[in-house]
Amino acid sequence: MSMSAENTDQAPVGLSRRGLLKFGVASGSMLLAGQALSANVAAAETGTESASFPVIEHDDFPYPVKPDYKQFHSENNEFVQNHRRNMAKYGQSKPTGIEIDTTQPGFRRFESAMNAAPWSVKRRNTGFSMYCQPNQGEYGWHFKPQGEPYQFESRQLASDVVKRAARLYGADLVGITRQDWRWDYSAHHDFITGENLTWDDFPFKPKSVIVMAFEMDYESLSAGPTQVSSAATAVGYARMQHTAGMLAEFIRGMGHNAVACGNDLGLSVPYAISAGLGESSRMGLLVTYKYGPRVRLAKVYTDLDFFEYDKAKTFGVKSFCERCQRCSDACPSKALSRDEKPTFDAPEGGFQHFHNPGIEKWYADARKCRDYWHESGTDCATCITSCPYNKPDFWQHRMIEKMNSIMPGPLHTFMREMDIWFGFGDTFNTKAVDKFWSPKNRMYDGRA
Amino acid sequence: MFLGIFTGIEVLFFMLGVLTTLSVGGLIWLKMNHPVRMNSLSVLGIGLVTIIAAIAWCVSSVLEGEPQAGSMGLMVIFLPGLVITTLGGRLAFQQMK
Repeated sequence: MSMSAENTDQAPVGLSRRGLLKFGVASGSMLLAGQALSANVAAAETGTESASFPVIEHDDFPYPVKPDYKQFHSENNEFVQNHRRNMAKYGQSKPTGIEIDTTQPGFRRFESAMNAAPWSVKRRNTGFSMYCQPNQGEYGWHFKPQGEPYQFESRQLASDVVKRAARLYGADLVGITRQDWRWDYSAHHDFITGENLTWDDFPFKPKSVIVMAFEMDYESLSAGPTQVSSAATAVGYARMQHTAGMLAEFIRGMGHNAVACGNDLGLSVPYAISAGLGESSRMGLLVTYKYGPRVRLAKVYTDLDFFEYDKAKTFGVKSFCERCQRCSDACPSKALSRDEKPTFDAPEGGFQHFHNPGIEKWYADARKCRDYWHESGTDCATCITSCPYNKPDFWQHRMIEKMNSIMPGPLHTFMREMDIWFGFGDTFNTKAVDKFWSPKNRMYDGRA
Repeated sequence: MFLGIFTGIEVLFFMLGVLTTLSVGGLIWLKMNHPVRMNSLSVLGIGLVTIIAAIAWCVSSVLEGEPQAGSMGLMVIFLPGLVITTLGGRLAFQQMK
């Protein structure tokens, strides 16, 4: 609609009172919104445990668990069973993998060596704890507390001190939760000796579990599945043992019992959920708020229970996983569930030894998954690479994740498609290997 | 990155601050010196904010090493921003005559 000459003549020039008021209201709203956001950022930076929007805190475990749920026996994990099958089939001369073309990017000699190095360091220090082998090296049960138990002035102080120390020692995320029999193994199987240790053999009655998450390198995992991406996993395991070992020693130095562990002693993912580090996902892996599924987990069991315990937190991962399915699409062995909703029981094909029924979750086929590791000569991790929650630590992804949490379900399908269009989550991408090694925009002397 | 002092993202957000200040200043100048209605200014403002958001997204994507995300940002955020800004500008220009 065009203005008449009369109206044009009468139109006020400059800010009217009403206009000024509108500007004032708009500016005030923006300032308040900015202040609210910065308050959340400040809270996160200082470690203050305020559940900032859109994170929801839960007093109990956030997923339903059946009353007849049974503890998992570590002997049933697929690593042990796979080893046993191979030993039965091949004996000691079992092949370590199939023939891999060592001239292709991602599998060259230096790339295999880069992957093997942290695994060697890890095995020298904590044996096969990744296969739930208990009581190894830094994860040993024989270390004793030193002196009289130190008493903290408050539970909050105890939690803050332990978390700060864990961060200093190298943990990226830390949470503290109560010991929960549901997540502890019913027995601790040593697949090398065939021995089963029980909780009666454990040196003390644990009361708390400190859970730590360690970020894996984004560029490295983008090159999956190759030796380059597997190296990120290996580095995670090597970091876990040193940090968890130091934290356990720190607690023992304060006169309390503590034992560090990796995959042994108990199920890391539900403990991490209870400790508020993240949510369960279609992959069966933990999805954290900051790093998505790109983490490894270590734990420290202690008899110190004077903590302000963390609460479990959810931020919309389950709802997103129901519609996304990028991981199950990308999985080369088709080991991940394609059911829309999580279930209590084992999926189609029936119960297998590695399933842990009685918890509402998506059940993966660990055998298919593990077989593909052998077939590809890697630790795969395409599910992690393809997950829309796996992003570099940049502001725009944090913004999108916040939006994801508040958006209704149908829009998640759109977000998944946009994630593909925007070029994120590609797997079997040979260019990603070149990008990992490219010296472009990298100055190793610290100038950039 | 910039003079070996600031990182790319720091320079980006400084420039975004400059652009935002210029945009807000321009809108206030239009309101104070020309008989432009609030609805035209709102359309123009939304367009400018969208363009600034597009610049933020695209440069950040390049800085994090995801150029495809940057290109898509140009199509999905910058182009609509340009259309809205042009629309708002035309509306404002008609009222200035």
